[in-house]
This record gives sequence, structure tokens and C-alpha cells, in this order.
Amino acid sequence: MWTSVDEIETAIGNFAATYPSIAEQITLHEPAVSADGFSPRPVSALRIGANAAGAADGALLIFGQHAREWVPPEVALELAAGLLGAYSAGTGLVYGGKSYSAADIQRIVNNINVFLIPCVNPHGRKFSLDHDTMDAGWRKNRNHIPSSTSIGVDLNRNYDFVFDQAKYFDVTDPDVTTYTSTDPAREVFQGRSAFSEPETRNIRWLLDTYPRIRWFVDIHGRTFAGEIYFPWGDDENQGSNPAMNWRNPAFDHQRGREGDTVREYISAADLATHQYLANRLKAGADPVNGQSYIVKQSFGLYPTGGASDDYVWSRHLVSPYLPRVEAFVIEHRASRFKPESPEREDVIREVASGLINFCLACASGVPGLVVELRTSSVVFNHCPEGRISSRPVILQVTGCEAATFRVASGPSRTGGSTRIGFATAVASQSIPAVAAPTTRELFVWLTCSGGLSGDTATGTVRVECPEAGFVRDVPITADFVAAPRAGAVLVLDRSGSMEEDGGDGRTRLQVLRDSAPGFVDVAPQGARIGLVRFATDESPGAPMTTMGPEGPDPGGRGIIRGAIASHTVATGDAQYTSIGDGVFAGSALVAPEASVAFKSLVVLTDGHENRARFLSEVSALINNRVFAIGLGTPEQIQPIALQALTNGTNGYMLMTGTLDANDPFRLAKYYLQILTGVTNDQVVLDPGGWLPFGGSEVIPFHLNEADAAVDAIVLTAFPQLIRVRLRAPSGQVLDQSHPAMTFTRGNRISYYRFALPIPGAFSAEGPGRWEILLDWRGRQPTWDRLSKAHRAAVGVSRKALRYDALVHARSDLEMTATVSQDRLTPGATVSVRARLSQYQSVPINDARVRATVRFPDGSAPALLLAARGDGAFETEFTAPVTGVYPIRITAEGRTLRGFRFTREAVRTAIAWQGGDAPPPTKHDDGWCAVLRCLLESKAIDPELLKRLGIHLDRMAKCCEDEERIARGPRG
Amino acid sequence: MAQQRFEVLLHLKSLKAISGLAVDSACMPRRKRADGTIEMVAVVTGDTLKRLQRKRTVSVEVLADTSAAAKAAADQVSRTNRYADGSLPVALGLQGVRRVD
Repeated sequence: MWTSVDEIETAIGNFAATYPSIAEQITLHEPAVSADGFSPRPVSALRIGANAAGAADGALLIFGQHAREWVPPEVALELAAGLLGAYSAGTGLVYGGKSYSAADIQRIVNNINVFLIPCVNPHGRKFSLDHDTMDAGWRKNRNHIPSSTSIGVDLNRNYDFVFDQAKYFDVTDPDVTTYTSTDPAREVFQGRSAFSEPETRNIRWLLDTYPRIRWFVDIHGRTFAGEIYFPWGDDENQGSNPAMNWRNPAFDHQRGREGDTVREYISAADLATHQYLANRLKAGADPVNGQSYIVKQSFGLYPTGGASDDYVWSRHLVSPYLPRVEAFVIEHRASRFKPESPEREDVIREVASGLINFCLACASGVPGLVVELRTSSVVFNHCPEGRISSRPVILQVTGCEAATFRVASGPSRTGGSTRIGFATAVASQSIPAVAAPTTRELFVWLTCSGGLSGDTATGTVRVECPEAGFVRDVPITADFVAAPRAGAVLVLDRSGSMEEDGGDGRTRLQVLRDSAPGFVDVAPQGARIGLVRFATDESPGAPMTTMGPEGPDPGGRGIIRGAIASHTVATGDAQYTSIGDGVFAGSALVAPEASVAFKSLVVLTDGHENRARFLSEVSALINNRVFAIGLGTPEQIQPIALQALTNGTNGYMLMTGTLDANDPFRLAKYYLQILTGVTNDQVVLDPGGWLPFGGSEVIPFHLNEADAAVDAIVLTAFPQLIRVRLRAPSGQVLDQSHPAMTFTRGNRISYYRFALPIPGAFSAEGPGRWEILLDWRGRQPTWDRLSKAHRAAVGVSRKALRYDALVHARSDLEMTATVSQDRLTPGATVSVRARLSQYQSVPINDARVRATVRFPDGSAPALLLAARGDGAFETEFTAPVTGVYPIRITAEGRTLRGFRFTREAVRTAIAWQGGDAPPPTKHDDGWCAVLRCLLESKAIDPELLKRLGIHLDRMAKCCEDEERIARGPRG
Repeated sequence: MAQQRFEVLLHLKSLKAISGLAVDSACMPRRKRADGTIEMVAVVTGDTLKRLQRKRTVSVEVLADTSAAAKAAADQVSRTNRYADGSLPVALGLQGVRRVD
């Protein structure tokens, strides 16, 4: 049966009464009037949704504007009965070959409001139902036409969009005049003025009253195959000239012609949004009966003005205070306007299904529906000279659908220093569809580089989310400051235990003297370095000194090298270990360095604390980064407080364990790695090997676009005998004669320092695969010659010479590595974490990160770190026995521009019995010191006190226990 | 009542051929053929039909009389209010659907 208008109105009321929590009858602002003598007829809408009308976005679906199109109001009732019935029963819906789960229905009703106007034109429908004598019967409403004997207005020509045909269109073109008319006798009579009819005013009223309506579909019939339209309807769409639009009088009298140059503007993003949603309609309708609805611009049907979809979409362009409402028309397919069963039911099913699928897309978060730009402007503030800084533009997207956020144009500089350049690091990010509505953030990344201190610039970038119809121009500002300088104090242990064997035939002191100079040799020009020593008390070593040019630099590096060379062991009562004194003195030395941005302490010790100041006393006073090297085993050093101190300052602690003749540069490498921490550089590569006498070695490494300056370092016992060269990506071999490279040879170290790109014979050498080439300089050495020349040398075998190669880079591709333990006793769980980022903050998630752990039993498994998102990778292992666990963390992957990169870091985990003891502290409130003073100064007579029952020797023992002196005769 | 109207299938090279004529073709099947000609369903009055039939550039085919179909459709119009008792339309999409808990 075809439903009468009374039944429609009654059914709306019944729906609202039956499902009061999810359905509401809304009486529209004006009743429809009739020239047929009928009373004004109220027109109702039905709102379906679990949320209040203003609490969720809404989709407005209107039916029955054209009276003779009998199917659409039937679709409205099907939709209402289906959604309400399925939601309440917890079921889905099935329409032929298309089904919707109960969850789909719940999502629609719970997430959005669906506003249905089942019969916009009730008097017209009643007239058509009662009087149509042919299939293509009455189309218009039944309102009186002023100054005319004709009745009715084509409601879908009565909206306020290019209403004035003569003004907007080329009325000489019959393709325009055919489909809308100012003649009241015509079926397409537009009315005397826009919104002359109460039925169209009701649509406007509903949109104005419910501003959270974001989507609109006007349901019509009929077409051959079924068609779905999106704006515009006045002319062909174009996306290149925003000024060519219906509001621009320059194009008046020219619209409506097919194939000419005058068109109507719609942005690519808006077009994409409409196409997306139109295809959701199609995807819902097509499978029901195996049809294929056609999606196209409404102009593709015919040009016209005053149509509902154009008006609804144009509203936000006319007034910025009105919401965007994406608008569509569906013309159902059928053989007639009034198809007989079963065609009638087939058409109802497929249109209802299309609309449900459309609503499901809306309820799932149509891209563009809920997007918010989180970055109103991009501020590159205080960019350091010589570095590439990056900043994100962030778009928050809420919903289920896939979305893309990308740079549409720019970034470009609009003012300021021409040295400053803006570029794109990550131009696009996409997210896939998800099952449940979720709020997610999408990032694009911009970079800023090239400025000198004091330079400023402004710029702009256009970003878009095409699925969301979102386009914005984001302003950019930038300023540059001088590159930061690093400052460090070497805090060196001179307690008595430094004279003991280090494990490789050298004393610990000698190992220190051999290793620490590398830190000074490789430190960047301009860095400030000082030195303090500690045993029982601190003692001065060298003042804060500016590092001069690479090489001897007697007034800079030479001073610190000299202080290291003259480092000796304390004697007598000064042999104890007060690490706190050393840290305190080092901190005091670096504190006045106003020109230094990064202040660090690099503490080396080989013994546990047994004299005040204890670290626990001074840790609260330290606000510098502290790196520590434990020269020995955990049992020897018991570095509980040292570990805690470094962890609290962004530094870290490394333990050498017992040194090994096969790894003579371990301490030197630790110093050099720590140097990268002090200067915020990166370790690209850190391998070691043996160079056979007479042989050669090739050590490859990869540089990338984020690497600005590079140190390629080789540690050997005999650097003067080794030829070190570099092979650039082009194959060109570079040596120390290259004018753009600095080559430096020191004691046990030689290295190249260069900035990228460097001039090559044919082109600039930059990112790509580089190689360190090692071979012998001059006459081939033998074991006999080397052992005679340097009897005490380590790192030499009978057939080869030990080398360690390191590549450091000042880079904007950074890996931060941290190792943490839940305790310091055997059985501890050790967590290894690395984070990779480029340009300070762009996370790199597509990388392979491993941790090779050398266990005390000699095994060295490689653990793969699992990606945790945001560039973070993690793994953990158990430290089952006492010992040092060196952990070599290596990462390799591709940069944002696709260049291969590697990063390395070495950390140590430790475990020993007693690792859970509290750190040494001073508890005596000074009375032990007083007692010691009394004893040493002989101010009191011990024998006399003994007769009084006071045993000074036992009291002194108590003091020793309190200060943990009993654990060793000296530090 | 207005004069009799006819539902016709028009085949024309250009819309100029029907310019100025009361041809109701809105929201009715229309397609552009590969040769650029237009095929469209329209409703016209008897007078307009005669004028169209006189044009050489327009081919007119009067579709089978739809009055019988319209009469059949009218017979299917509900003349009572089926929902006056508070009942609701039954959704086609719910037929055969089982509850999913």
C-alpha cells in the first residue's frame, strides 16, 4: 500500500511515543498550505538518536518534495522503522545483498541524530495520491500563486541559490531554461521569490534551529539506473579559481553552459569529501538488488538554480557563522514514479540501505566532520645556528574513517632573512580506518634551517585533510640563536687503588692516562673543559679551558692533556675515596661558565666511597649532567650512589669490568662516547677489529641528510703507522690532504673531522655509504719490530694490530638510549629503551633496533627491541649473576628521505651481591672527625682514658664502621 | 482539470529543439548518447505533443498509456489510517533478522 499523508503524520507520532528515549517528533515551523480548500497541514520531522538534539551531529534526510514521487516517503518510514526497531531489539538490518550488524545500528543511533522529514510536501502528495491520472503526475506543492490562476511551486527550485535565472545564467541557453522556470504554469516553476513557500522555509528553519546538522540528503525519483548527486548544480565544478563562484558578478549571465570556461568553484578537499560520502550512499544501495547507482555532480543531471542541495551546501560560504553541511541528492531508479510491487519494495530497500550506509559513515566520523587543527601557528623559536630544527603541524581527527593530513603547498618564506629556509620533512601522514570512533592526531613536519644568530623570518604553509574537506593556511615564524657550547669537567680518581692492575697489564692509572686524552683531542673547538681530582679530598687539576684548533693546541687542549698526563695517585691518609668531593668540586668549577649551554661532569673512579663528602650528600646540589665511568667491577666500586646520581641528571654510568688485553681501548671508547653525550652528538658506528700486518681493512658507514658534521676516529696503539683514508659515496678516496677535511693524529688516536657536504672531484659528497680505509703506512711492520719499539704496548698481537673505529656525527637524527634496572642484585630485570627521532622530534618508527648483551659467562645474545610507537623501542632481560653486562644498542633504518642510517650506543648493566645496600652516608654528625683529630693531635691521653673504661681504639673502630672504612684499607 | 498530458520519450540533437515548449522533463530519466544526442522522458500536453511531432530534429515516442498504471497505483493508496491504533510500519529490513545479543 502507498502511505497516505495522514498515516505518515500518525506514524511519526507513534514512533516518538513508542521509542521516547531515541525518537522525537518535531513539528516544523510552518504548516503547509493548500489552494484546494484544505486546512493548513502541520509538517513533522522525526529525530532518531540516543543523544539530545544539540549533543551530537546530525544528518537531515528529506523526502517527498515532489508530490508524484511516491517512493521517497515510503523510504522514510522504512528507515525510521528499521533504525528504531533494530536498535531497540538489538538486531541488525538486512536489505537484499546488504546487511548491517546490530553494532552498526547502535553506532548510528548512539553517535548521531538522524532527522527525517518523511513528507516535505504533504498537500502535494495528497493531491497526487488522489488525482494523478498518469504516472508522471503532480510535481509541485499545492500553494496558491500570487497573481496567477496556476497552483503550485516546484519546491526544489525555490531555495535561495542562484534563484534569479536571468541574472546568474545564460538564459539564451535552452539547457538552462528547460529545467527551471518563472512561468507558474510550468512544472518547474520556481516561485515568485526564493523561500516563497512554507515547505522550503521549513527546511531552512530546521537547519537554523539545529546547527549541529552536518549532512543533508534530498531523496527523489526517478532515473534509469539510479543516480546520486553532489554540488554544484549551476555549472561544472572547478577547483583552481576560488574567485570564480556564484557570488562573483563578473560571471553573471554566463553560468549553466556546458563545456565553457565559466565554472563553479569547489575546493579539491570539499569535492573529495562529497565524493566520499556520495560513494557511501552508492555502496549501501548497489548490493541490495545488484544495481549500480551513478555518482556525479548534480550539474551532470542538468543545470538549475534554487535546488536544495546547492542551497544547503552554500550556506556556510555565504555566512561564516553557519556550519558546513555536505549535501546530496539521490534519484532512485525505477521504471515508474509509482512502481508496482515487487519493484516498489526493491527500490525502498535499496534507497533505505543507501541512506543507512550514509548515516553509518557519518556516525563513524566522516573525515572532516570532527577535525581540529591543534597548531594554529608554527613557531621555530631559538633555532640553533648550523642545525635543522623541526616543528609539527598537528591535526586532531575524531572518527573511524581513514584520513590523510598533508602539506598542500609551501612552506614558503614570506618575509625576514633570506638565509632562512623552510622545508618539509614529513609531507603527509595517513591513518587507516578503525572499528570504533577514536580521536587520533596526524602530523606533518616542517623544518627550518640556514639562519644565523639574530635572523628572523616569517612564512606560511597550506595543509589539508582532503577526506575531511579541511584546508588551512598556517603561519610560520622563526628566529635563530648562536649554536650552544658544551662544557665539561673531567673528575678523576687519584685514590690509592688506581695503582692496581687494570687487567690488561697496565695499572688503572696508566689506562686512564692512555684513554682520557682522546676526550680532549676530539672535543669540538670552542668547548670548555676543566679537570679536578679527588681522593680523600678534592684537589685542583686544570681550570676551565677553551678548546682551540684540533691538534697540539698548547694553550687549550694541551693544558688539559698535560693535567691528565700529570695525574698521579695520592699517598698516605689522602688515599681514600671521596667521590662526593670530586663531584662537588667539578660542579663548582663548571658552575660559573655562563657561555656554556650544556654543562657536564665526567667522573672516573675505581673504588667505592669511603670518605665524606659522600655522593648522597652532594647529589641534591648537582644540576649538571653527570656521566660516570666505573673502572673495575661492581664489587670493587659498589656504585650504588653513582648510578643513582647519573640517572638523575640525564647522564649515565658505564662500568668497564675487568679490562682485557684484547680490548685495550674500552675506556677510551667510553670517554669518546661520553663526549658525544656532552656535545649532543650521535654515534654512527662503533666497531673494532684487528688490522693484519701488511693487510688492509674497509669499515663502511652510512651518512644521511640529517648529519651535519662528522668525526671518523681510529684508535690504535700506533696511529703513526696506520694510513687512514675515507672513501666517499661517489667512490672518490679522500685523504688528509683534502682541504675541506681536518685530519688530526694524537696519542693512540687519529681522526678526520669534516662538515657535509664536502666538495668532491665531480660533485659534493654527502649522504650515502662511506668507508674508512685502513692500511699500513710505509714499511710493513712486524711483531718483532713493534714489540721492540714499544714493549709495553697493548693491542698488538703477533699478526695484527688492534684498532677501534668510531664515527660520530653532529646530526639531527638522534637516538637516545637508556638502560634501567629494577635493582642492582643478581636477578635484576634490565630494561633497554631507545628512541629514534629526526629533526628533534619527528619519530622514526620504521627501524630495526637490537641490543647485544654480553653476559658475564661470555654469551652475547642479540635482543630485538620491540617498537612501541612514537619512535620508541624497548626490550628487557634478566641479569642472573654478579657482573658487568655491556649492552651494545644498534639501530638501523631509513631517514625521512630514505637514506640508510645507523646509530649505536653502549651502556652497561650491573649486578652484584650487596647491590641492594643503602648508599654510603655520613651519620656521625662530625664526632668521628673530632675523635680522629683528638687522637692524631694527641690532645688527650689514651692510657688515662683507658683506666676510666674509655677505649679510644674501639671508638675509632666504631667510626670506621660508620664510614665503611672497614671494607678496605684505602680507596 | 488541466488538459490531457502524455508521457513521451524524446530523442533530440539539442535542447534548442524544445526551447520555449512546455516540456516537463525534470527528475525524469535522461541520458546523453554516445553520438551526443539526448534521450529523455518528458510529460507534455496534447498541443505540445503535436508541435514536437512536427519538428524534424525531434523524435517523439508516446510511451504506453500510463493512465492504467496510475489507476492501479491509486488503487494501492491507503484510504484508511493504518496507524491510528498506535501501531507502526513494519520495516522490510527487519524481516528475517534475528536478535543478536
